[in-house]
Amino acid sequence: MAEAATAVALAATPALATGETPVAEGTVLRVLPPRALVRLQLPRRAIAAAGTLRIGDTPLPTTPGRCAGDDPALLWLAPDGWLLISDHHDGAALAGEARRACGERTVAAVDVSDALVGFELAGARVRELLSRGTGLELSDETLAPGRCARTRLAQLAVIVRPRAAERVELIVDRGPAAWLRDWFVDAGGLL
Amino acid sequence: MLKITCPWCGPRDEPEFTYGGQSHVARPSFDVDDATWARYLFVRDNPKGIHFERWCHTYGCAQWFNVARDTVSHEVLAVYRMGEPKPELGA
Repeated sequence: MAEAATAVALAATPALATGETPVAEGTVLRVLPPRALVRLQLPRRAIAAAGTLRIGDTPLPTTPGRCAGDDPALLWLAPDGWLLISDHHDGAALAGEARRACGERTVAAVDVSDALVGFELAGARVRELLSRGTGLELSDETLAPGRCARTRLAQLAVIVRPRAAERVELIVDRGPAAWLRDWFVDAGGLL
Repeated sequence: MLKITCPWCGPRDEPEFTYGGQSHVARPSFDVDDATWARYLFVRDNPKGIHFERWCHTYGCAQWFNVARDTVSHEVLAVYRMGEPKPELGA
């Protein structure tokens, strides 16, 4: 159901309707298909026990800037906050699973599937493009699969999740998502 | 531009952060006179040298923390989490 709702939301954003945009030579930006996204927030007093919590079969990552698991993927965003991503779960079901995993603790597990848009930036000039809009360290070590970072990119708060050497996933609020796509087109034109 | 080391995320550029004013401002008890209360509300240090201040990693982990910064050189001398004691730094 969340997938259908997300598809409707995407269609209602005409600027994002086209799936793939060439942004530089050999580099494209594509809109990722709808999927379940859940923001999990633990209360301060429960942070110490975060490492013992498991969503699916995967322990919550407690090391800053790390991802864990495949589906759902668990992205560390803050000492008390994570983003859960799944291609196979429904958003509400994933939020429910996160709440169950936290047991009796009072947690906020919010389905944000329709609030965020995922992009994939792929190609030989990915790092050059990113360097135009963020001061984030873009070395092989920090921009490697298994890592993630929330940073300021093109004046927006963007979650950067490297997927391969020349493939990076970007997650941004739906509102300014079209702006981010246009920004990459402009930045690509200046390379 | 400052390079600030977030206690959680590591070194990031200044535009990712929001400045939050002087650290370690203790609220007086409610029965103090108006002048004391006004000093608490409105008067802040303005040193030439080490300044203890709060910053928030707004575009990153959204956590508040403390920074000791030299207001002359802008060198960040120390970064420490909320609740941690103020570091001893030479004047």
